[in-house]
Amino acid sequence: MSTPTIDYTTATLEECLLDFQQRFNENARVKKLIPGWNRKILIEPTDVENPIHLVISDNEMREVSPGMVEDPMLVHMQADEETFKRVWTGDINPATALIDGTLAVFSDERDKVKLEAIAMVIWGL
Amino acid sequence: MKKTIELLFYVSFGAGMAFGMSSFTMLSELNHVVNGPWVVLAIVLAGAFCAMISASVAELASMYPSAPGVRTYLKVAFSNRTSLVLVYMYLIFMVLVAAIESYMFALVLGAVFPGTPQIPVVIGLIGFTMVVNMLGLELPRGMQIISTLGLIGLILSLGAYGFAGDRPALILVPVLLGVVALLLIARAFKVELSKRLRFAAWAVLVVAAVLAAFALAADRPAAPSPQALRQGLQIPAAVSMAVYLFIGFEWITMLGMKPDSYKRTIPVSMPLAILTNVVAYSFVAFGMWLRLPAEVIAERPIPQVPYFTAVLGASGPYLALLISFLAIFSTFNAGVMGGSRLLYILAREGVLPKFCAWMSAKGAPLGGVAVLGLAAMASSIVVVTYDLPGLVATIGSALVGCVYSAFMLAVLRLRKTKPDARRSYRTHVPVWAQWAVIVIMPALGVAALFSQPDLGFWPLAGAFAIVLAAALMTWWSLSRSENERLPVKPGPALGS
Repeated sequence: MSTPTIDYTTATLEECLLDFQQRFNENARVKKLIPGWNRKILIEPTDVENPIHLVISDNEMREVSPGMVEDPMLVHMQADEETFKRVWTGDINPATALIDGTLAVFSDERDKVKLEAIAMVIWGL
Repeated sequence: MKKTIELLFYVSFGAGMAFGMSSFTMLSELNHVVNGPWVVLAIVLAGAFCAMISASVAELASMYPSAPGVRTYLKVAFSNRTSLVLVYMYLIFMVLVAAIESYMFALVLGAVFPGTPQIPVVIGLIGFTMVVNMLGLELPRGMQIISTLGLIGLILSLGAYGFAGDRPALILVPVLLGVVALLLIARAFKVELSKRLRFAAWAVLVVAAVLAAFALAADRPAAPSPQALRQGLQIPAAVSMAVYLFIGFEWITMLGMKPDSYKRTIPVSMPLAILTNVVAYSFVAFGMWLRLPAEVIAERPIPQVPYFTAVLGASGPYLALLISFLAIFSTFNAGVMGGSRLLYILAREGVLPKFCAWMSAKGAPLGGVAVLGLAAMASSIVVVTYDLPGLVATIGSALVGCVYSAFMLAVLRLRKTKPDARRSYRTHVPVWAQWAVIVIMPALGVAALFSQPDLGFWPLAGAFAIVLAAALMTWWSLSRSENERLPVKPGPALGS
């Protein structure tokens, strides 16, 4: 299992996501999972007004920016901010969060599996 | 995605998941217990129960959107152990349905090409579906809508032609009921209909009612006979069996495209999917009754073949085969895909071994597909060898009825334990009616297990074996997950 370099209890959600972006872009196995998978991902905390979106294109996570985003193939995620921080720093397994109802993912089914696979590759959970 | 297309996708998916080749087998099984209009009554009542259950499922989905329903709702409302027992019961049911579906495909293929060996066909079909899923191939959404609508449209047309071919005015009876049901659904979900639409609906109602009354007066049924009254007493068992015809509608809740979908679109799409299937099954059941002797329907697990032959002549079996292909193309594949993802997520959660979460470089759940496919192959060999489709379907519907009852209980329990949790939708079914369904569904299931004296105690023994297997799997899962699972600190529920 990969060790987080960032402490979710003190970091902001954006910092957690920037750390994840670096891991994502440096991981060779992730690159194998995502050819042709160009998506915008909206991270929307339910307890604070702090939406952040990620842009994945051409085998890289190119953007981590605050604010909402629209896209026909949008992957929309909702959870409270702490759950998000723990998911993106590998502190909890996203599958467990989904089953426990603490995380919701609105997208095509294959996109959910793809995100799960990425988390598994990066964190080894 | 536009709202209408989104609604159409959910409705076609929900109706399609419930509609498979084994639905015809269940129509045949129902004719062991009741026949003719009583079958239709059982279908309508089972549809009404499922519509009430769907409202509870919609409320749970609005609390836990996009979650793998059968696992999440029951885990949150009851306990991990209870949830796992019911999830394993559901998974065993899915494996058995895959076995029945593939067997029915082999029988239909055999009707067109006599002498086709059954076991190689069954194994080949499941193997083919496994390969398709392992390669990560999936029907585009538009194709899925078209193939499912095509499938249901064909069934509706053949059913309507079968029962109203000689007396076209009879077609107005289901039209009348369908419009009433749609108006009731619109009212329940507070859908504002335009003045023009309301006028058109009422005009159709009045004209259809008048013409149907004339048609029925000309075709007046005989007075109730003692045999008919005996059949009436068998209705509870038949209703439980008919629930089988709607199983799968709840899978819609995992497919929500956006948070707003759970407020109205998904809640309204489930009863619409159920209504679509009520009409389709009723047409076919009534058509079969008019065109075929009761013994022919009851004796053959693929009654659609003699029925289509009676309606269309020599081309009937070919059409039955085309419908089988359509069902395999859309619903069978969707079932294998959904089941394998449930296995995958259980493995990721730590309750199943890690190999169930193996994934291809493209992100296809290899482990889940392999486990589900191999289990379906093994059970299909048993089902084919001992010719068990009717027995297995009857047991399955009784057990899933218990899972559905648990969904309703989960709603009432969560209203007490989590009264302030976010609910973007609340069921309109009164609490007393929910309690009634919670009690009635398992009772009907027990009645179904004893409904066919010629089967002896096999239905009861089979149901017991499945429950025991689910309990043992739960015990095994919990003991291994305690040893192997990573410590997970659960956060607050999304809806809290």
